[in-house]
Amino acid sequence: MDVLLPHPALASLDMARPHTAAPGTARWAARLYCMTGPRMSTPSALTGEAAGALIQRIATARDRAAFAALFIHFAPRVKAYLRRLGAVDPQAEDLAQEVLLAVWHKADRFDPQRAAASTWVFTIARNMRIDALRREPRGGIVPADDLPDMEDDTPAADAMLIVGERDRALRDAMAALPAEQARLVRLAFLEDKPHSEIERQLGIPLGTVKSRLRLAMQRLRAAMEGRR
Amino acid sequence: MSITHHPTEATVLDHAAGRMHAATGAVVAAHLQACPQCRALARMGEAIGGSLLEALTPEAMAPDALAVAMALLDRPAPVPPAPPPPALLDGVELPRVVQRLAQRRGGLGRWRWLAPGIQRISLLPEPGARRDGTVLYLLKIAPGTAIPEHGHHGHEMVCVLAGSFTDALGQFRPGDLAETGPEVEHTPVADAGTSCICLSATDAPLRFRSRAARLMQSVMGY
Ligand SMILES: [Zn+2]
Repeated sequence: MDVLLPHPALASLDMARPHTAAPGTARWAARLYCMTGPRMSTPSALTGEAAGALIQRIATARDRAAFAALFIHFAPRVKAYLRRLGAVDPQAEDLAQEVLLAVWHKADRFDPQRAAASTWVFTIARNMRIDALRREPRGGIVPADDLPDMEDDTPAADAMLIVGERDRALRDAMAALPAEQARLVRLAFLEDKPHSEIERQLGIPLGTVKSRLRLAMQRLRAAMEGRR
Repeated sequence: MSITHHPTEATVLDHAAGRMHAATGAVVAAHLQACPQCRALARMGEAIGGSLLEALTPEAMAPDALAVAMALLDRPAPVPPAPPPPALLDGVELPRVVQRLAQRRGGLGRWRWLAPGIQRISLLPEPGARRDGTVLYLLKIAPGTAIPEHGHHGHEMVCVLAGSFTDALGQFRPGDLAETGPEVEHTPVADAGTSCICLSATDAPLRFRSRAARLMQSVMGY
């Protein structure tokens, strides 16, 4: 068992008997913080369902411990995402910070019927990154209202499986992709390079890049729609 | 609304991945708002993005990052309340992406003549923002007016908001998206009836074919 070093920001929380805490509760989140906080780079064991429950705790109860747990899990990942896309450090750190603050302010827009927590955080990070790029010359921080439209009118279910299953199916399908296709999918999302640059880098023709990416997408789509 | 012209799958996924310029991304967003089919694909792209985010090797934040964030939770709403966005333009309902852009700059501005029969409201780049060669504007084309034959150095993307136009690829009606690559030359003509209003983005300046059109381009900055 790790030595518990509660963060000062969590000092006000009731830390008694954390082992009795139920997932999603403030006490549980605080306990999670104590276990992962001192080693921020260790992957924290936050499942998609638990992360979604934490976002809802923020929406319904402004639960600060839930925020802390989400921050510990997602901020280092959002920072990694931003850095892969070319952000350098003071900005990557600041923007990751702002993305998580947007999670706090907009938690009531999160709809667990529609998207997994990681998907929602991804869309916020993606949008805020685009906006930061657009505003670069003025500097300063991005307004947190420029968020994805969760409130649109798409039927939540579509032809899709429910979110939890869909996410697991997607993850399994991604793990099962041939290495080359998996690499192209990663490049498409995590590198700010045109497909023609990817072509050059991998030494395969542009048409092949596109057709392999397409093949990968077909497989992932089939998995998410429950066809396989 | 029956939509017959969609962006390519690759474009929708680029949009989901955040790889598009703001201007072309806005046109795709306008289409997505109107098109459940492409929206489902975009959702899938976002789910892929989410699971890739989840799988990334975390990069440590500064030791005091959480404390700083916690201290900021109670700061007042980060944005002062903006005026409500204009929802209608010439009686046409504006896509949310345009409403948001208008809200940020405190209004839409007004139509300006670009050429006989063609008016424009410029949306991007925003004043003071970096100019990266991409532009976004609303176009109003009078019935029967042709946009002079032009090719593109880059991509052009147009989503129809009202009325319709026809080019070599067919008729484009509200919600339809026309995506044109660098090699294509085309001459869209607004159909008879009402003016055609579209949201249009290019990621490089248009290049007109005729000398008169080139002159118009240099004078109008089109
Ligand atoms: Zn579509």
